Order: sequence, then structure tokens, then C-alpha cells
Amino acid sequence: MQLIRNFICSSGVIKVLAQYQIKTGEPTGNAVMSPYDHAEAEWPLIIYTVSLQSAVGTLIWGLFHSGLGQLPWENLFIILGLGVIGMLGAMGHLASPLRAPRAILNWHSSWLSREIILSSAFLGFVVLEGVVSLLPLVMDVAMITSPLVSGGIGILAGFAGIALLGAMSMIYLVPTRPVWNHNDTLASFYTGALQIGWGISAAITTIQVPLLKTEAIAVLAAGLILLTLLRLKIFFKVIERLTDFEFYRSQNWGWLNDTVRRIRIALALAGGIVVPLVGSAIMFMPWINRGASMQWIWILGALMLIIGEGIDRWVFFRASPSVIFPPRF
Amino acid sequence: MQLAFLFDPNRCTNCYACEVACKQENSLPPRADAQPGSTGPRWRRVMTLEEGVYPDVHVSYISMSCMHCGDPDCIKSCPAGAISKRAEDGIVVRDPKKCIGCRFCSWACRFGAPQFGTDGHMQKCNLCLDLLAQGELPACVAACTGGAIQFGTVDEISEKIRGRAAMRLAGATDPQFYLLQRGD
Repeated sequence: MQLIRNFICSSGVIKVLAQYQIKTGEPTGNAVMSPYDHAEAEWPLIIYTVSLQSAVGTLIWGLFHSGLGQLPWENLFIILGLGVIGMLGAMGHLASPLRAPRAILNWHSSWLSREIILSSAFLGFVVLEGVVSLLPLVMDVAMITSPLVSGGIGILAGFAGIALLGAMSMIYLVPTRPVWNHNDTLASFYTGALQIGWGISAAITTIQVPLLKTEAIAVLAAGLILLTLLRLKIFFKVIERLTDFEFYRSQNWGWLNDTVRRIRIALALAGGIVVPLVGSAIMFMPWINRGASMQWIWILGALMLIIGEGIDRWVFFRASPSVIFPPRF
Repeated sequence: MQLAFLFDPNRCTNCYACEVACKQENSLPPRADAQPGSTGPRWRRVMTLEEGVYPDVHVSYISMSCMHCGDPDCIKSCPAGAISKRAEDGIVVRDPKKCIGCRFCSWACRFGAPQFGTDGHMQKCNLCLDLLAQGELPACVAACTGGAIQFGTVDEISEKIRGRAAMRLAGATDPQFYLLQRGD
């Protein structure tokens, strides 16, 4: 009777699942799971979330680097490219992509609707900024107003992007998925975006200015290293050591035994710490072609960060038992 | 008015007649061609709950479907407004023409009610709306060999369980599912 009492009294069925073994009466044999029960089925979501995160991060740091002024064309192209890839990924997730416009209808209660609206707003502002930046070339618009207007639009895009990251993470904060339903999910989406965005912005900067000054390279490198430490929670672990705060002290570190997770950590460390260090060290190697080497190293670093984040998201989707009350299909 | 299920585990024999009747009534495939070995969408599912340690053990069976919650998570989560709750009887229904197949409802539902076929669109128990319209019982209720699954308005169910040890499934979404205690 205790079982049924627990079953009834729990707020959902999660506690029951945690305490008791539930069998479904499924026929045994060579059962094949639904594609929807595999993390691989979430590739479109991985592409969408990582692309949009990267785009938002690139825009935020692009604005920062440009002093909240007009974004450089390179940033706009990359943000738009990532946005288009992300939205195509989002469409690939839907069973009926042609009905995608319906996804915005339930904005008053669905985080997914809010996410789509904010994605559209973010990309819309980016496109608008591009159009405004082009205006002086085709119309007789005072050159002084264009950077101001496009800077304002860029800031609006930045706010939309920040809100988008929040909506994106709120989708995963659902009680049925205890492994996602944690502030860590929220933090990882924001820190991931800032880290990748900084990496891409740094790569763009080295392309725009092949022979950067040592101070500028040092700022780019230090920023990326700090953000990587933030993304990998190393900051929080240090704070835990030094103070009484508990962020992750209770966390089991057994996941580090997983090969995929190790690859993810290695990519984050390589792209977020080794690359900036090597990029800075090149400044002191006069026999190397600084401009070209610097560009390729930072581009490689940005790619490592994006791939690492993609692997992290794959593990993220795989970590949650996709079936709470089995089976779905 | 709110319709609800009452389940009596004392009467359930784990015969799966409810699942089969549900599949038959709603033309659900016994298995999906693309996924050999799968059971296909199951709007109603018989759960086996094990309790105790050998030799002091007990097994219970609970047949569950959509709970037609008072405040359903699926409706709140659906971005396309494809799921709604009927005012006249509280049945949670989905509109297949509006579903975009994002599967967010399946993440949000605490009871695994949303199911997906090979078309990728959500499907779930609708309390056999067509049968109800003809004044008949839902297929699972009619097929239940032991009379374990019962159905009615909340008032009718309250009347049935009066004086008996029964519990209502608790939860933030206000699920409309009543369960008699074992042995009562």
C-alpha cells in the first residue's frame, strides 16, 4: 500500500520512478526504440541551440567591441549565417515544418513559442541592422545617422538575444526532466553563448586587423580564458574551495569517466585556453607569419568551441531519460 | 462538468484488454512498420508496480492514460495551440491539423500521455469522444474484463468511492484520476 500511497502523494510520477522499479509489460525481444527516444533524433535541436547561442554571443561581443556602435559586416554575415543554419535546424525538428508559423501562437504560456518569437525578433533586428547599414550606399541618407540607428538596432538585437537565451533554457526547466531542471541549465546556455561568441568575435578581429597590437591580443586571450573557466564551472569550484558557498560540491564527478565528455572538455580547453595562449605566444615569435597564423589559430579555436558545445548539448539531451512514464512509442 | 477515471487495482488482472480495445477503437497500429519491435503509440498503458523484497512482495497493475488534468502542462507547453480542454466535459483534446510535431508536450506531461506515431504528430486519449457522443462508454472502460476501469463525472466518482479507501492522484496539474486502495 505504501507504493500506491507514494504514487498518489508524489507531485508527479518521478518520485515513484526513483524509488521503485516500474515495468511496463513491454514484450521482450529485439525491441527497437523509437527514433524519438534517441538523442540522435535531437540533432536538429543541437544545431538550432548551438547556432543561435553562437549568434547571440557573437552579436553581444561584437557590440561590445564596436563600442555599441555599428556592427562590422563580418559579424553581421556570421550572425546571419548561424541564424539561418539554426532556424533550418529548428524546422528539421518539426514533424510539420510548413505549420511552423503556428509555433508563435501560444506565447502567453509556452516557452517554445516565446523562444521562436525571440529568435525571429533577434534575426529580424540583425537583418534590419544590415539594411540600415546599407542605406547610405543606395540612398542619400546622412552618414552620421546610420551608425547611430544601426547601433540602436544592434542593442535591441542584443536584448532580444539575451531574452532568447533565457527562453531557450526555460524550455528545458521542466519537472518531468529532473536532470535538466536545474539552474545549471540556465547558466550553461548563457556562459556557452558568451564563450563561443567571444571566440568568434576574436577570430573576426584577427581577420579584420591581421597585425593586432600585443595589448589587444592579450585582452582577447584573457577574455576567452576567463569565459572558458566560467563555462567549465572552474570558477565556481574555486569559489567553493575558498568560501562556504556550495555550487557543485554535491555533484558526482563520475561523468568525467565518459569518453565523450572528456572529448568535450578537451575541445573546450583546447579552444578556450590553449588557443588564446598560443595566439598570444605567437606575438613573441618574429620568425612566424603573425597575421595568417593568428587568424587560423583563432578560427580553429572558435570551431573547437562550437563543436565542443555541440557535443555538450548531445550529452545534455542523452542525459535525460526521454521516457518518464514509459513507453512513448 | 469534469469527466474522470476511477481505477480499482483490486480488480485489474493485467489482461491488457483495455490497451487492445483502445488501439482497436482508435485505429492505432499494433506496431509501427518503421520500428519493428515497438508497440506503436499506446494511448492507454498498463503499468506494473513492484513492491517489497522477496519473499514479501506484491505486484500491482495500474492502467493509465491521459489524466485530462484540470490544469494540463501539455496545453501550457504547446506552442501551436493544438491542445485544448473542452469546457463542457473537461476532456483534453488535440487538433491534429494544428500540431506542428515539436514534441514539447511529451517533455512537459508528467504522465507520458502524449504519444507519437510515424507521422511525428502528437496523439493521445480523447476519452473516445465519438463513443461518448453516442451515449456509449469509452472503449477501455467497456472492455475491462474485471471492471477495474470506471469512468464518470467527478461527482459520480465521488459517490462511488464514498466510504471506501480511495485517493485522487495529486499533482500540480490537477490530474483527474482516482485510485481505490488495494484490499478495499
